[in-house]
Amino acid sequence: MRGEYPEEACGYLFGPRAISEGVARPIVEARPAENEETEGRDIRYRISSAEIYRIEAEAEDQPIGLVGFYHSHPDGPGRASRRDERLAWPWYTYLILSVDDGGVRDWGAYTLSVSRGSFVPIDCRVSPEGPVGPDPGRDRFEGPGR
Amino acid sequence: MTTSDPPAGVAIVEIPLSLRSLVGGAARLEVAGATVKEVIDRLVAERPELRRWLLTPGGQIRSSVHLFLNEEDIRNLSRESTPVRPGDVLAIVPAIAGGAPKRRISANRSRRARAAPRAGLTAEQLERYSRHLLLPEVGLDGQRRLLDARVLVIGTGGLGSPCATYLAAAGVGEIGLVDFDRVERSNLQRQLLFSTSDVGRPKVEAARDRLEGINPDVIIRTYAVRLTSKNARSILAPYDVVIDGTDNFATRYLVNDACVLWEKPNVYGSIYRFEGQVSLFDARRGPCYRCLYPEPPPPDAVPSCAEAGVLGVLPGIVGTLQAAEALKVILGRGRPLYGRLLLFDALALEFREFRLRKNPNCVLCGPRATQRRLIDYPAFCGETPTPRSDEPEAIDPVRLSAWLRSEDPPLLIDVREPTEWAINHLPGARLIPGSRIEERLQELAAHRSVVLYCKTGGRSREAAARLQRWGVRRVRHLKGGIDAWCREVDPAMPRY
Ligand SMILES: [Zn+2]
Repeated sequence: MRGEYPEEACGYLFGPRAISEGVARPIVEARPAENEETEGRDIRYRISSAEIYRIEAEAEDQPIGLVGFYHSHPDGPGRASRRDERLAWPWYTYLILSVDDGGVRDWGAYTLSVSRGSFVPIDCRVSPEGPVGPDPGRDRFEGPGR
Repeated sequence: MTTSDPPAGVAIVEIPLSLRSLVGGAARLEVAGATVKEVIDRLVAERPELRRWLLTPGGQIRSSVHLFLNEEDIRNLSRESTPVRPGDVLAIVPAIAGGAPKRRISANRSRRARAAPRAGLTAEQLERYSRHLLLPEVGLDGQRRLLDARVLVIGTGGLGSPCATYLAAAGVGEIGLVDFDRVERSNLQRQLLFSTSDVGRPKVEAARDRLEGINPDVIIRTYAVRLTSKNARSILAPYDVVIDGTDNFATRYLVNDACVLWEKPNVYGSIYRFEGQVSLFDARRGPCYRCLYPEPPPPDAVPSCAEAGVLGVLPGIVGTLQAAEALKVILGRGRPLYGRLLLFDALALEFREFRLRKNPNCVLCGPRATQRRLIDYPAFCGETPTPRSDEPEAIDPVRLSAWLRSEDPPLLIDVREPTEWAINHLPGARLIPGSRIEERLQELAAHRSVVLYCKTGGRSREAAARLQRWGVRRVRHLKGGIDAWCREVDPAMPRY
């Protein structure tokens, strides 16, 4: 996360896929992705569809798989932007982190409500026994689906 | 996967997880159509709830929808007019994008804003990399490759220090550093990334400051964690090349296995006293570390540098060779060390080379490989203390110190080498190097109790176990060695 600053960092969130909405969805791993955006990388991010396709195909029958995405807002708020919401897909968890050159300052998690067509904030907390990983993965985020 | 043959003219559409709840949980739907666009239109007609996710109000495929026909991105084919044949698999993949609310004007832009441009070199870079640009084997293209490359250096000690230094100076665009240690005074004899004033700082932080000072083009990512089976994948994922600069077998096997599983070149280096080894493992092109060493040596059989010592310049030579191999891999130039093991003997000043073959029985990269995931490496390397019947009893420094001051003190034996003894030793101890302890069995057996110690506890435990097998009873050894004694009992004692 700090490594990309002041550009946006982004990546995948992995967790149990079978969990239905309305239940706490643990995120067991956060894995960085390449920001494919070529311009305005400080305010835009785009994750390779080919990579998502590959990850999805690999995890087809696995209990743990891709359940969402994270990205950073460098020097920006830990809340979803209009653009984040407009481009969001249902079901996934979107984790948005506010970072400055000192690291992660704030975050918010959302899921898209299909009926309302808008983001619904979800509770998000860091569980202390989470796995260790690079910046975003250092903590483990959990939130109820609704 | 549907196993029965689909009806003629019908394609299989893979529904992304994100949209499955809209189609009753179906992962695949059979839809007729002659082109990609026809299939999507038919799908939307049959499943209207998918429409807003796949098509614009005007009926075009949304730009946030990516389509793969038989695993090929349709943007590389004829886009939405790509013909679809019966039985083709059309996968819908959500495009994930977004961004911050608006561009900020921040006075606090870090120097990373000037990170390597993807194309072209700045005037400053042309000057900085001029000696590379002069080489036909590197040139502008090669330098761009370096600036776009990502190398993960595992361990920022003796090997990682010189390696990361040269990688940063060469303009490798992103360098990841994994190390959970702090700088100790005893590191400064060979770990040139650190200064005396860094003692006590986390190594990755001190290293980042130093490397950014050498070359501000380079993005340094730091991981102040122990590499484990749990975090290895996420740490390794973004990198093109991995440098093994570890100092223990558990991490070395972990690095190798992770590199085989996720197809990363692994630049291996190791050092012992005056001898070094270098190789380049890539299971796609040759053997892996496990082909060479299927199993770790028993614990304590091979002392670490902290136990055995190492000539200060040796890791400098080996780590620099690792950097050279990493640069060659990135540049795609020269003859990398795939399938060759280079041995360096600093005392004889000799380089020797051995051919390595892929081991057909390698559990990891052989044709009948059985291991497809990371395992518990400390256990694999016997580092997890398994209580054994012949496990000698350990005594901690504070208890030993009290015992030595009692009326019935034990016989205290230093099993290190005379050079170590000359630096420091415990009061009242006798020096009997571990290799010669059997010669003094009678003397030892005559005592009521014996306590052995070494530098960190490995050699003394092994020697105590040997004495027990010779029938000497009441042998204990100092837990953590004289290092622990210095920390807990006598901080004034000189250390090494
Ligand atoms: Zn192998």
